[in-house]
Formats: sequence, C-alpha cells, structure tokens
Amino acid sequence: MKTRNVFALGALLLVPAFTAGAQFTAVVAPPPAQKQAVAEAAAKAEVPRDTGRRATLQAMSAWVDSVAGVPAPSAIVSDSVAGDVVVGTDSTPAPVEQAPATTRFADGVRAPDTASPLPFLLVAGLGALLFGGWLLVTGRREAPVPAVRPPRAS
Amino acid sequence: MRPRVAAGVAFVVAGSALVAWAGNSYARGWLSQERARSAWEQRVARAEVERGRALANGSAAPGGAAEGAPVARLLIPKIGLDDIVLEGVTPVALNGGPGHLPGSALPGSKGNAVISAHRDRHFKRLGELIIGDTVETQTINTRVTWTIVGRKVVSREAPVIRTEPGEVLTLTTCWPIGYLGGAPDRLILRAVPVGRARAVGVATNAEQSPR
Repeated sequence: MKTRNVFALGALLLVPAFTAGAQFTAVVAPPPAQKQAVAEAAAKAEVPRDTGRRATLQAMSAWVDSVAGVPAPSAIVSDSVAGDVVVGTDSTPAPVEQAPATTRFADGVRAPDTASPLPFLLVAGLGALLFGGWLLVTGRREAPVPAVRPPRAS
Repeated sequence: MRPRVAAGVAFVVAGSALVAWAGNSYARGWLSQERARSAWEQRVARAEVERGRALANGSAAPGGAAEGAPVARLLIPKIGLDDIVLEGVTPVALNGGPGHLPGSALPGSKGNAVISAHRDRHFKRLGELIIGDTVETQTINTRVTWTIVGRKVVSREAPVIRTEPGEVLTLTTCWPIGYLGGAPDRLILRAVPVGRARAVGVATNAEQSPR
C-alpha cells in the first residue's frame, strides 16, 4: 500500500470519528429553510400590499433582504385608511427552536438526554488501535530495498 | 522512520487516547456509583436513628437533594439491576448512576417519579423488561414494589414526561440500546405501585453495615 493511501485511509477513519464525537456535545441546528424565509417575507408583504405602492416596494425590499440573509430595518408606511403604521419588516428568519435538554421536571417535557458518546469513542479508539498496530507490524516486516550499485567498469 | 510506521504510531497514539478517555469515564462512573452506595448506606443509617423526627412524614421533599446526592435505590431483579439513584440528570450525575429528574416525585410519593440512565451502563438491559415485570424502589422511608404497565418507544423530542395525579414510576433510557452514536429514540417504561412497605434496615446486596 502506498504511503499516500495509508494516510488517506487513516484520515477517513479518524475524521468521521472526531466529527461524530463533536455532535454529541453540541446541538447542531439545521439551517433554516430558504423557502420558509421567502414564504414568511411574502406573508408579511401581504399586509402593506393593499395600502399603497410604497409599502409594496418596501416589502419587496424586505423580501430581497430576506433572501440575501440581511435583516431589513423597520419601515414606516402610509396607510390609506389609518395614519402611519409601523410595519415590522424584520425578515430575518427565526431560528429553528430546539427544545433544551430536560434537566428539571415539568409537564410535557421530553425525556432526559441519556445519549452517551462513550461506546462510539471506545469502538473508534479500538479500531484506530488495531489499524495502527497492523500498520506497524506490516511496515516493519517490509524489508528495506537494498541499494544497487552499478558495476564498476574495470 | 518510514511513513507507514509513522502512520501506525499516529493511529496507535490516537486510538490509545480515545480508549483511555472512554475507559476513564467508565471508571469514574463506577467509582461514583460505589461512593453513592456508601453514602446511601450512611443516609439510611441516619434515617433509622432520626426516624420519627424530621423525616417522619413521608418521603423527602422532591428536589430537596443536592445534585449528585443519593436519593433512592432501584432494584430490578429480572435484569440484575441494583443501583443507587442519584439526584439530577446531568452528564456527571448520569455517569455515576441512574438519575432522578429534579422536580419529579420521589418513588413512593404522589406524582410521577422519573428515573433515567445511560443505555450503555445502568440501563443496558432495560429493553428486556416487559409489561408485568416487577421493579422495586427504596427511599429513606418507603420501599415500593412496582409493576410495569406501559412500554413504548418515542422520538427523543416527544413530550412524554407528564404530571400524574397518582403514584407513577417512569424509567427512561436511549433507544435503540445497541445504537452507536446519538440514539434517535427513547424507551419509556411506566410502572404503578402494587405493594408498599416501610423501609427498615435497608441494606445493599453486600449486606454491609452502615459506616
């Protein structure tokens, strides 16, 4: 086996193990769906759309901002019936709410988090140990290539 | 040093570190459980002496114990479990033994007593229990025999912990038991009391005299 392949195989074994190990200690929130942000912005745009052209344009701006992931400032639009109405155009998509780990009893909480990374780490460690041992044993068995000297011309 | 040998050394070192870390955690958990057992025996002995005074009226107040303190003893003969339940469900508490969810009732008190543990340690055989099996709990004042009346597997996000008007014991752990990694589900066992006795001279399997 080439040395390059050995390192590649090693990286394939170790990197997923450490990555998966990290997932046990941190809650990784899935990225908010882009379609949801667009739908929310479009829903908000429905309110001022009936009141005037200016409001519609501002809502469009919010919609564009939401797609780009830039929070838009609040806008004051003129309503055709009432006076100035502050329309919240905060188009930043709300983070996906993930219930915190249950540490105290309350009605309707989820079961306590009993997930443990130890079995996985133990298996990954034993695997790395075995693989490393195999590399050591087979690496030392390989006889060094003798240097061949060209015959001296006499 | 040849690259192959160097890679082998790197793998051996990394593997050893992982195994040592996991082994250290298991060892600390085992030591913590032994300390909890000793503390439980001392507490039972004190309660025997002081019975009729501060602790005479039912079980101790829920949530009154400090984090990591022994609050009960859990026995499940079918799976050979005999562990001291510690207060709290934090990783440190769960490493030492089954954890009592703070704020929930203590076993033997009115309400829902919730006890959770890791599936790779104290509750590794919890999946073998079926409806009708017997569980026993001992607090300072009461020894309660429970029978399992409900068994279900739910998503880990499911809101399964509920307030109960009567006495209920809820045992939870991760599911599937043999899953490698963050288990996606939870095994929930629900038990109701079928017998009760005053906890007198509670001793552990070793029948050690309280120190």
